Amino acid sequence: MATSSRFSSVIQLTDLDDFITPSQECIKPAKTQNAKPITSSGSAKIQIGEDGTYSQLNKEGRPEKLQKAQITLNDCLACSGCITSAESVLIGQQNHMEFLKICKDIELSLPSRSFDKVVVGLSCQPILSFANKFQIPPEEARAKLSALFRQLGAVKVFDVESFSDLCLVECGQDFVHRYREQSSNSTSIPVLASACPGWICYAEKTHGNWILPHLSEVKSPQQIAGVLIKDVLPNELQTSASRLAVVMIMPCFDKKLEASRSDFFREDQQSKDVDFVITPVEIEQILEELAIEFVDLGSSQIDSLDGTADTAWSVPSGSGSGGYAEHVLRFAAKELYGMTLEHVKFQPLKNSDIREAFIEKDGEQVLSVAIVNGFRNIQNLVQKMKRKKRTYDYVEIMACPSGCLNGGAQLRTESMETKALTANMEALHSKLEHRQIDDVKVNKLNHVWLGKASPEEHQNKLRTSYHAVQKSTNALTVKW
Amino acid sequence: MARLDEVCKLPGHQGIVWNVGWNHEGTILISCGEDKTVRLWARNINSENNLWVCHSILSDGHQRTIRSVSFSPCNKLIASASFDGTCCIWEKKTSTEGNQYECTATLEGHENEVKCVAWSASGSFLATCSRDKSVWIWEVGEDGDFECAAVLSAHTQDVKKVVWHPHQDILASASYDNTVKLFCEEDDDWVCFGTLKSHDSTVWSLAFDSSGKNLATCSDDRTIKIWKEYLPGNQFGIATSDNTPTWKCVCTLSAVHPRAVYDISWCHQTGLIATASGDDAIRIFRIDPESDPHAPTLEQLVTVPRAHEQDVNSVAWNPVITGLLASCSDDMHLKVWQYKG
Repeated sequence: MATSSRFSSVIQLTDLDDFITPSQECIKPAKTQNAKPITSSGSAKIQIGEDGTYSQLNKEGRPEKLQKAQITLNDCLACSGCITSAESVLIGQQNHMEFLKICKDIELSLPSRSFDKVVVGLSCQPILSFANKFQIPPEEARAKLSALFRQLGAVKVFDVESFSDLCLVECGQDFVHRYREQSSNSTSIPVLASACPGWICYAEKTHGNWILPHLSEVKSPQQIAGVLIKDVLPNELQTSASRLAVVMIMPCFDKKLEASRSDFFREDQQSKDVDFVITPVEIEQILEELAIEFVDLGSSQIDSLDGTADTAWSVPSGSGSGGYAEHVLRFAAKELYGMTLEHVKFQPLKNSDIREAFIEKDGEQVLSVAIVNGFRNIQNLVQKMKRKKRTYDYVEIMACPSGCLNGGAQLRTESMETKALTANMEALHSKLEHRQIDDVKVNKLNHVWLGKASPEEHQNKLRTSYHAVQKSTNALTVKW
Repeated sequence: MARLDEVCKLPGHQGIVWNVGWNHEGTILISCGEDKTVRLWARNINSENNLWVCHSILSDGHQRTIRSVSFSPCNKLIASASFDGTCCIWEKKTSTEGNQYECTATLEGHENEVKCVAWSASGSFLATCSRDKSVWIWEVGEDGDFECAAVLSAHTQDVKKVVWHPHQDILASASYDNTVKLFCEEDDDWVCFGTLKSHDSTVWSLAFDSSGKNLATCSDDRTIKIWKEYLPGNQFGIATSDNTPTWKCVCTLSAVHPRAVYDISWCHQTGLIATASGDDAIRIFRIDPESDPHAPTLEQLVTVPRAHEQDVNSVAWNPVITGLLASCSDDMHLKVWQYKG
């Protein structure tokens, strides 16, 4: 089955103008199949029908329907013509409608349905966004969201954070490995976190080959969760990976771009690791669509991966974006220098979106990590690296100012300014139960999932790669 | 009768000349263009007829057209903005062979063509804008480093021009989205505090008057407009919100320019306003001193119909020598003019 028919974020554009509007100047040349010259002069007459279809007059003067130009999300990803935000606007438009249709088709058992079962992964930032907007405890917001997705037909609802330890463990090991080989490999340090697809898209499109070796190859929790769910659950749910829709609830549209990368399409299963990414603003639209008030939703439990009734909810210690920098620092300090860190404090620099933490041994700084959020700080980091200035050993990078808690698709309230909103979100996040990695749990999970997998298979499941996008300079796109 | 006399015509650029400006002492004329060079011109003290001659050519900094050039307030640095997506900082180095400018930093970050670069009056900031719709503010570090202080995505289209307030760290930007936006620093970030809407097409350029309380804009819609700042709690009944000033359009001059107006320069000494237009003409205006300051009228003093052989791209009043105006054009030439009132 073609991916385009069941993956909503591959946009089938019906009106080229709609595409041009957000990105202003799409420079992707549209391929035309019908290139035969029609008249001796090589010019052609085009008619626009009442239904808006385009026809070309052939030699006999009879109209032949012309194909519409189609631009898919994959074209956008492979093109350097426009910027990320515009692409996100585009894919944001259709996703939740497509998701609702999938749910409806399953409910009605339509033979034409694309999926048989739906599994949902709830990320903590959207939960906090609802908790903040409706002024309810995060646990309650989580239970209500779970209830909503179960009502829509989800057979399982998980916390994305229950997968993130797999990611963090891998990040820590990857970092230590690269730290050790830095004397023989000039691009091993700094290691730049790769969980934020907005940042990845920017790195691939704008900086390309020189920066890509610095990116951590560890997949994000979203993608690791997708692979694991599709590996482990079809058996239990008596379906196949391609008939199981994996839906992730995420704080920003950029995560849709990530899910639609061709790197995350499994040929063997003929399926995407993550089929849908739905954001808080879209959940609000879903609620509106179904005439449901969020506050009226009941509450429902969250499933645990090992089937036990593990109701305690915790998130990784550290930033609201997933705690990458903190975990890497803790793990590396232990692994490389035998130090157990009680408390990690990140010091803000010029602004609160660039924070750093160091470890000293015998009065000498041995490890440095930073959290860099927002474009301007990313820019300064990248330029420093480009000029070969010393930066950090590891950097957690998120494209949004304040990181994922302030994700682009989180709920905004008119009465509250972004700064106050972010402060609230940070307060809510800090009150959640923060955990260190539980090795026993991670090992158990690894065992259930990867069991006897070879190191290569293990690598395939948890690591990915990046691709530079050729920059095109087209004279036609120049505006004076 | 007021006149604008041609002082000299300066050939040299191999292609369109996009932008002209002066150093802050008014002694050096600077230009840039399609030929990827920045040229510095000074008055030839040996010649009797006061000619301006090119004494330095800054090349090898950019891969594509240089669209804009600007002197730092200390006159030691020059910033140039290019379609290659970068901005170069040139520093004056004095050696036995005289003064030479060396490219000491390249500011990268814009996705594509950089359209304009401008130094703030304090010298602490540099602003750039681009076809990528963003306005960037760079902080000038003590060690000569430039750090990105803000990436402002307030405009919805190509941003054509950035101009700093003459006394404060306030930035104005003009765009293909038909608006002008104003930015200031708030806490540790820069924010847009005003959007000036009235033009019907691309706003090509803008200029503050010497007080910084009035702004002149010019547009592809063939008009020029004067905007006035009204502070919160003003006695004229002009509403403001969020305790920020309101900029109100108090004058629109239409039916004078038959083509797009590409540049506007407001002389801080004389108050004269010069425009560069797509009809090859240069025009000089002033605000009628008799008119109501809240609804001023513009008085046209001079028109030079064929000032250049093609589009006039930029005009700039000399900041020190009264009435001296520089212009440049698609016709590959610069011209220096003297206004006589």
